[in-house]
Formats: sequence, structure tokens, C-alpha cells
Amino acid sequence: MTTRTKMSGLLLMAAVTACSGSGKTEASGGGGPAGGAVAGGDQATALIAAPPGVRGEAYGVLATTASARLPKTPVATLSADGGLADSERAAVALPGLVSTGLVTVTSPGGVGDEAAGSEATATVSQVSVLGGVVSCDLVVAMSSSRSDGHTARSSADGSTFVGLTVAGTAMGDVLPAPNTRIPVPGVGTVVLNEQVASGDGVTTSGLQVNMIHVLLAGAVPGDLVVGSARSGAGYTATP
Amino acid sequence: MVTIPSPARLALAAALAWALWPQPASGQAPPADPPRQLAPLATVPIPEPPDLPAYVRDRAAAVRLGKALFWDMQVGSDVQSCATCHFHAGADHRIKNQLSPGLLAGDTTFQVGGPNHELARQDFPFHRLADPTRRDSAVLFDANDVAGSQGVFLSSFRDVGVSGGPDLCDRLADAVFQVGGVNTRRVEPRNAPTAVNAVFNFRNFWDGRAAEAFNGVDPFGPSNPDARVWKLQGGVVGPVQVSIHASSLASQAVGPPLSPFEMSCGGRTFAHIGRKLLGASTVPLARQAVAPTDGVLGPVARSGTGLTVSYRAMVEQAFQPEWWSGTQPVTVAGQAFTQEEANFSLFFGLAVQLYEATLVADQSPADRFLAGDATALDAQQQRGLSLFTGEGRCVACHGGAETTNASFRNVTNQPVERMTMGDGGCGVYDDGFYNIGVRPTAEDLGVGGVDPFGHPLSFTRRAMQGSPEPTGLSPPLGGVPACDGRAVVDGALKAPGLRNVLLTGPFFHDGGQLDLAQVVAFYDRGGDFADQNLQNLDPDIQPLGLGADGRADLVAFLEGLTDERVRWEQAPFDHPQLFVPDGHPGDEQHVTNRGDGDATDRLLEIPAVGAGGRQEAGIAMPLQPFLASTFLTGGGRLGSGRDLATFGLEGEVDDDQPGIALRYDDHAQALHLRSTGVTAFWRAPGKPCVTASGAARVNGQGGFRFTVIEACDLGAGGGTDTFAITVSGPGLSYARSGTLSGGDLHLHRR
Repeated sequence: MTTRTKMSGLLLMAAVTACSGSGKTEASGGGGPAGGAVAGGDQATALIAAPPGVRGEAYGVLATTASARLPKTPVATLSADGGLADSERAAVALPGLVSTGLVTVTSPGGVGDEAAGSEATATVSQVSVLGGVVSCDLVVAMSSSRSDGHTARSSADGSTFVGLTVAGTAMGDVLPAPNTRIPVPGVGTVVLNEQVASGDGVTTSGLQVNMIHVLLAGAVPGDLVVGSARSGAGYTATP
Repeated sequence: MVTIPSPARLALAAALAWALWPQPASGQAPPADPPRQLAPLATVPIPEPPDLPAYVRDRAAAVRLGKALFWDMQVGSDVQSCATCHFHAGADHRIKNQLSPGLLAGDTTFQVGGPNHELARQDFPFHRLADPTRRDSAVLFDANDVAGSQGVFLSSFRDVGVSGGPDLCDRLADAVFQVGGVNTRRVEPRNAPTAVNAVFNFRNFWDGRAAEAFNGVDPFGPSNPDARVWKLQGGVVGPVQVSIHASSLASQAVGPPLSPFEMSCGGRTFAHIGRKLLGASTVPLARQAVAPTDGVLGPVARSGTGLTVSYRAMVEQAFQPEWWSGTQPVTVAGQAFTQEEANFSLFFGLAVQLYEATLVADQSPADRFLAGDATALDAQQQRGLSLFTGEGRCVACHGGAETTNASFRNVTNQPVERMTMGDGGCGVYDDGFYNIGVRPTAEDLGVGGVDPFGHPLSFTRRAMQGSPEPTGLSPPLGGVPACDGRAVVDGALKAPGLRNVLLTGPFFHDGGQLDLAQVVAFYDRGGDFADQNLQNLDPDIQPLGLGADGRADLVAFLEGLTDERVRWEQAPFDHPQLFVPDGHPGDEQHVTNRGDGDATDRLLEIPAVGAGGRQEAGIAMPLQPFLASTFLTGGGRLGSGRDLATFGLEGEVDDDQPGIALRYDDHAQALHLRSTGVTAFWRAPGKPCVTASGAARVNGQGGFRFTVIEACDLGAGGGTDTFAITVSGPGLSYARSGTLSGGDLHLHRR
């Protein structure tokens, strides 16, 4: 059972302003985990698609605690040669941890004669985490990658929160800076817009975006992710 | 006009002309003519025989007859029409059993694949290099095979078919076109050029053998001394010689119907075709549906299949009575025919010519741009146009509004020219015909060849042999000794006009290039056999240094030469239903013997389309490029704040077959769509955009349709790419469009 804790607005703003960034990330590779553990059990290298190939995955909710476990729900996983994967779930609920409304997840991608590209999107509506510690009307996690063998890049453009509230503070429609960490006493740490980049920026690039990542530290340690998208593309140019 | 020239008079005139020409004053080659600038095609008059009324009394009736003949499967001995090889933007689009060995090079072995091979993208180009940007790089594969057009089985003619049915023919064993001893359909040794805009060519066929002046009988014009048609004069039917100018299309049209490769059992005559089609029991287009809205044939379309009017009635309405009303029998090849039957080649040639003269594609974006609409071509296409007329050197051969120097206007003015060759020497060549190093010269002499009467096809060679035909040279032939003893015509083939070139692949006379990207790469590396062909090589064939961006720009411009009426088969490019032989069930190792030693056919239906085009006929897709394989993947976000929509898309077209998977969610409108079927997916010519449509479920309910009006990969994804969609169905009419505020679209090539 996770302890419900409310965070004061003052504390929240202090934490947010401690982070920097425009809220948009253009990853050209070489990055690594910027905010501690990467949720979902993935290593950064797993984002990279071996050239030529693509990776893509989007999911709504993932929870791993000592007392409860919810696999990626729903999840769309792109095959290495591309296509379109998608899924949806009318609602996801894990009492005490998270509840959502409609969740849709999509991941298209493909490998052509001149480039490879993939994209992943997770949208989760009516999100309530830990009884309202974090809530929003809609969260969009979006990640896209492409490589032509000369340049490989990834982007989280399109990711956003609609009607975000953290610890009782309404933040509205906002995209916090990448890897915004908010300590929540008695709970752990909330990471908003967590981004993990990978790849060499030439032939490979990948980016994972977890819009809400709660690192539970109290009596019931664990991980909770809401709204995750990752993409990766690898391509080697022919002479 | 009817003329009966005297050979002796011609010879005398030739000798006089030669003697009277000024003697050479200089050994220097004159400077090359400046390239003929591009212009809207609509500015060019459509060539027409000056004495047409001597033959045709009702032009509209002749066009109607010509369209029926062009598309009628009863014309061939065994289901072939002209359209069988010209049904797709005027060209051939089939991929199975379309390979011919290098017959013109004397080779009967196949390299790319055997008879009944199904062409695939990886078969192209037929000359493959380790580095496609360098012609001197290692050759990975080379074939003298030709991607041509399948025609008939090898056989000899016995008699015409009953009621327009297949002719009665005796099968012959075919040593080349066979699988396991079972005959396959024979395949032409050159790729089929488009019939669209062919009216602007001074001569037709790749080697120009379809003469400018139609002799009423065969393709060879005045070269055939025995060509005669039958005219009623003073109550008597007698043979006359005709020379109908500006009629290369008529000369061309009467070739294939008697070809033992293309449409005919060996030994058939045009009078036989006349007997078959003019027969009282023959219904035009008897086995083919004609749309009631067909722009030409609609008014005479019969319910179901066929026309309500006979060929005899159409001929007699279209042509002057002195060509068909005689009652005395005439003898052709030892057999008695009516005058109308015996003159069927005359009717066929002129009627098909007048129909083809309506197939003028002059409404491309490039035409609009050249007419002053600066928005008709985008920035990339305009860069491509600059390359086309500049460092790409394309305009040197594809000049003028017709995009070919082989045009009627240009060749009429100057049939032959001098030019400084790739080896630094000077020579004389037939205007509009060029050796560009596609294949070694000896494999296909092109206009350097001779006709069945032993005469050179080349104007240059004829002039050098003393022909009195005008050359347009100044000074006249003989005036520049450094040039005038050297005919540079071997391996030279007609430069085709380029409108709709996106749709008419595979390319070149051997069909060895898959798409425009391969064609432009060929030119950029300076050809494939430039060194070997140096004696006859066009001097503009040399490495161009366009680079990848330049090549892409040039391709984008070439795609801008597409007339949407052609792409959508709107009038005048509408047509009757057609069934075309499309290879044989089985593969290169096994076919099914239909019982007589010939292989069972696989037939491809080309649906009838009326004047409104394919969409009016319920066909969602426009005509596609040859073996097109375009696909787009990606997704993204539209809108901001709470007014958000997200989508993911994978769509493709592969050899005309569309596929799509779409997920679209408008979160503000609570509209959630998942595609369940596809009706169309295609790429817009010259633009990195696709259009798609299909069936969908919306919020779990079926019965909806979506159309991705346009999804464009304009670069870096969010902020540049665009997406527009409509959804309709029970109680719903939805539309949304915009620039992506996140995500990325990727337009891929395979």
C-alpha cells in the first residue's frame, strides 16, 4: 500500500525550477539515463535498432512494486522490420496506485532503401496516480527516430500533459523540462518527462520517453510509469 | 493526295541535287544548334495530313472507328489489341512474361529470367554496377535481355476467326519462348513506348521505321515500292500509290497487327483483318464492356459488351466512298477480297492515327509553370527544371515543347544535323535519334538499321547515298567534309517525349531501367556503354556530377510532367474494358499445356473507364508507376492544449496493390478510428505526399470510411510534416488537417 502524500505547491515549484530545459529534446545520440533508473527494465542500448531496423514500443501503465505488479498495459510493440502496432484499453486501474480512463498506444515504423524511421505514441486520459499525487486529464508520450546512415536523430516533440496537477498544484497544459525530478516526501520521487537517449547519432538513434515515472521509496518500494513511448532507428548508408 | 513517283525521275533528281550543291568551303564543323527551349505543349499545333479530306469525310466517325479498333481484342489473331501493349498511360505495365532475349543481337538466351519470368524490382537495372554513380565501377550483372511486351504464340495463319473470334492458326514449336516444350507467348525485342503524345513524333517506333508519309499499307512509307491501295475511279477499282504526310502514326499503327510477335499468326494480311472485322456477324468490342460515359464510344455502347454499330458502318461513315464502295473483287496475296477488305490497312492506319491524335497530354504542372503559373512547380521541381535545361543537358535531346527533338516540328525543319562527337570528331546524324550508351551499339542498331526493302532507316544514310529528300543542312551535305562522310546513326534510338514519364516505365528501348531514379542515375554517370559506343555516342553523354540532391531534383521535375487526366484516365484517356495476356499460370520452370502445346493464359482485366475517369468508374487508385513500391510510416500529433489528435500510419503501394493500417484518435472529439480495409494508397507525382483511403471502425462501430487527403513528409517531422484526414459514416462527417506538432512521417522507397 502506497502512502498518499500531498506535496506543497512551494516545494513543487522549487523542485521544478531546479530543472532546466525547454521541455523539448532533440537527441542525436550519445546520451544515457539522465534521471536514475530507466523504467521498464530496458537498458539504453536496447533502444537502438541494429541497422537496418527499427524499434518502437508504447504503453500506458507499468507498475512494479513489492505488493503489486502490472505489466505494460496496453502495449504496442513494433517489429524490427516495421509496420504498425497499436492497442487500446478503456481503463486501467490498480487500486491505490493508479487509475486511468482510455489508453491508446501506437507505434509505426519502417525500413526503406534510403532510411529507417519509427515513432511511438501513448495517450492516457484521466490519470490519477497515488490517489491524486499526480493527475492529469490527458498525457501524451511521443518519441520518433530516423536514420539515413549519415545522420540519426530522435525527438520527443509532441509529448505533453493536459491539465496536469502535481501534489495539489494545478500546472495546466504543460511539458516540464526533460527529466524533471520532484521529491515527494513519504513517497519517493516523481520524474516527469523522463527521457533516455541512445545511439551514435550517425547510424543509430533511440529515445525513450516516460511521461510520469514514480520511483517509490517508502514502505513499499517500486516503480510506476504512466505514458511511455520509445523509438529507435538504425540504418547504414551504402557507398 | 495520290502520287505515283517514277524511280528514274527520283534518281535523276538526286544526281542533279548532289551536283548542284555548293562545294565545301571549310572543313570545320559548324557550331551546334542551341537547345530548343521548353514551352507548354498546348502551343504546338497537332500535326495533321494536309490532304486528309481526300480520305476521311467524317472526322468524328473516324476517331470513333479508331478508338474501337485500338482497343478491340478481335483485331489480333488471339485476343491482342493495340491497347494490349499500350493500356497504361499509353504504355505497357505488365510484369510477367515480359522478357525477351537479346534477339536483335542474335542472342536467344535469357539472363534476367526465362520465359514466364515475373519481373521484380531487384531485376533492375539490367546493367548493375558496384557503384551506380560511376560507370567505370565493377559490373555486377549485365544482360542484353529486354523488358518488352508479350504478344502471340508462334503459329502460322490459316483463316480468320468466325464472328471476330480467334483466328484459325497452326501452332509451331517455339525454340525460344517455351517452358519445358510448352510454348509461351512471344515477347517483343524492344520496350513498348507510349502512344500518348506520339502524334508529335515525326517518325515512330524506337528506330523510326514508321515513316512520316503513310503508304496506306505498311509502316515503311515510300520505301516500299509495291505498296498500293484500291481506289474506285470511273467505276473501276484499281491500285494506286498514296503518300499521306504527317501520318507516322498511321504508318506505325499498321505494323503490329501483322507482326508474328505482337498480334498475328504468321502470314495473315490486313485484308484478312478486314474480312474478319467487316463481317456481318462481328460486333465491335464484342467481348469488352464500354462505359456509357465513354467520351467517344459512349453513344454507341451496347448494354453489357460491344457497340451498337458495326465496323462496316463506321468505316463507311468515316471514309470517302471511292475507298470502299467498289463492287469488283480485288486480289491480295492470291486471294479475292472486296475493295473495303483490301483497303482495311488504309482505314485502320488513318482511323487509329486520328484517335491517337486526340491523346494529347498537355495539362501537366510543368505545362502550367511554363505558361506562367509560378506556383505549378515547387522549389525542388524548379531546381530540377534548371538542371534539365542546364547542367543536366537533358534539353539537348529532349528539346522544345514536345520534350523531344524527334518532334514533327523539329524534324520537318531539320531532318539531319551535324554534331561534334564524343571522340572529338564530327558527324551527321538523324535529328532526334541518339546513341546514349544504353547497350553496346551492335546489339541494336536502331535507326542505323535497314528496312525490309534494304533501304537505310536513317535519313543521314539515305542522303549520303544520294536521296533527294531534304536534309535541312546548311551548308548542304558535302559542305563540311570533316563531318559529311561520317554517319553517326548506329545504335541511335528515338528520344521520346517525356510527359507522363513517371507512369511509363520500365525505361529505354531495352526496358532495363526500373524508374526515374535509375534513369537519372544512368545519365549522371555518363551512360553504361559510353566507351564502347564512342564512334556513335552523343557527346552530351558524360558524367554530369549532379549528386544525390541534383538527381532527386531532376526526378521531381520529371514527375511534374504528369498530366492528371492521364493518371486518372479521364477523357480523352478513357477506354473500354480490356483483357490482356499477363503471363501464364506457373513460373519459369512449369506452365500448363492448354492442350495444343501452348501454355494456358493468365488474363488481366483492365476495367472500362468513362470520360470521368477512374474514380467515376469506382476505381480509387490512379495509374501507378511501374513496379511502384512506395511506403510511408509515421505518426504524430495535431493541435495543442486540449484540442489534440494523434495518429499512427503505415501505408504502402507495391506493384499497384495498396495496403494501409491507420490509428487515429481525436481526443477532444472522442473520436477513435482504426482502419479495417484499404481502397487506395498512392504517392503524389513530384511531391513527398501520399493519399490513402479505406474502411474503418470508429469508436468500435463499423461502417465508416476515411480518406487521408494528404500526408506529407516534408523534412524534420514535427513542425514541418502535414496530415489531413476526413472521416464519414453514420451520423459523422469529420475533417481535420494541419502541420504536425510532434511526431514524424517517413516516406520510404524500396
